[in-house]
Amino acid sequence: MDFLLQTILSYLLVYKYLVLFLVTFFAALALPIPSAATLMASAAFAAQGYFDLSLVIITASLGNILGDNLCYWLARTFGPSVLRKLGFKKYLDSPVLLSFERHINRRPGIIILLSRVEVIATISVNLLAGLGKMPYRKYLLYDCIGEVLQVCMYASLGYLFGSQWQEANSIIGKVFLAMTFGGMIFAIFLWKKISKRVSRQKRS
Amino acid sequence: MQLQHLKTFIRENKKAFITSVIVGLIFLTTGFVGVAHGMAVKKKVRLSHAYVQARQQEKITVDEVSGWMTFDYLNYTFKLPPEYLKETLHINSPKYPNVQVAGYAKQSRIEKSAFLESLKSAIQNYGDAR
Repeated sequence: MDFLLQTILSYLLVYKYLVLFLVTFFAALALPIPSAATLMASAAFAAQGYFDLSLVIITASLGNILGDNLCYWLARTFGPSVLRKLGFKKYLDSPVLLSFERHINRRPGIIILLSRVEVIATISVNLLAGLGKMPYRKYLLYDCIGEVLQVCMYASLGYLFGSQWQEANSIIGKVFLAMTFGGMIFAIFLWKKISKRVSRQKRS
Repeated sequence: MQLQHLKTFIRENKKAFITSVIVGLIFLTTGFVGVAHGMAVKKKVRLSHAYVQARQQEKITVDEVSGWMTFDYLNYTFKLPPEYLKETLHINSPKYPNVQVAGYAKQSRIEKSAFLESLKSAIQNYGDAR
């Protein structure tokens, strides 16, 4: 078990739900914090009776939802101006990015729901939803549903596997590493496909 | 009035809720089967046995006691009297029992592995004496 996770678990045992909230909140803001492992550990402690499972689910869901919403509003409010100042105007106004935003706005539900499972996908979709000014009510609805489902999934695994949560976590870690790698290749493939389509549309 | 709004909202987004339930069940089933399968492969047992073994070992064993745990957690897990570890190991931290085992060892300038061994012996002795 790595040093960061050990440190988080120590504070988790002392400060309980406050630490769980902070970990899930900051992980939703793209900080490299092991929030899935922390959530599974909390649920495992709940299986042992040391924590309350319903409070674990509520706290982690709240942390994730608030983090996602902050990401969305930062992207929506400051995203375009910050990206322009950093010299990314060309990408901001690119037809490819606009095409991505249109896709997300056309099918927000399934895209937001599925992206909650993997952290890079979650952050990317939050940022694109904010930059593309997706209607906030729609975004909030699907984000809440997606995050509660995601939290319930990890919490269930931690609760069901109890003291063996570390082993369950290492298996899940390998699966999600493979998914992240696969997702990145898929994203590059999708970007190239959309770029080609946009170039063809421009020529015609 | 607010309940009416909520009912209307749910009715208008019925498709979203149904999709969410289905996606949620798929996530949960895939996650559970995937992890149980991974454990079964690792331990070279059948899928159902991997889960049953995990459920049987609900609480940690003495060997699994680690430095990141707190004395309060250990007292709860092993059903120790609150002051037992404090008296047995002469712990003089004012934050006891909400203090990390490895943190206490470092603060008291005690060698971590030796302190862990003493801690495990103390827990084991209490269990044997009961």
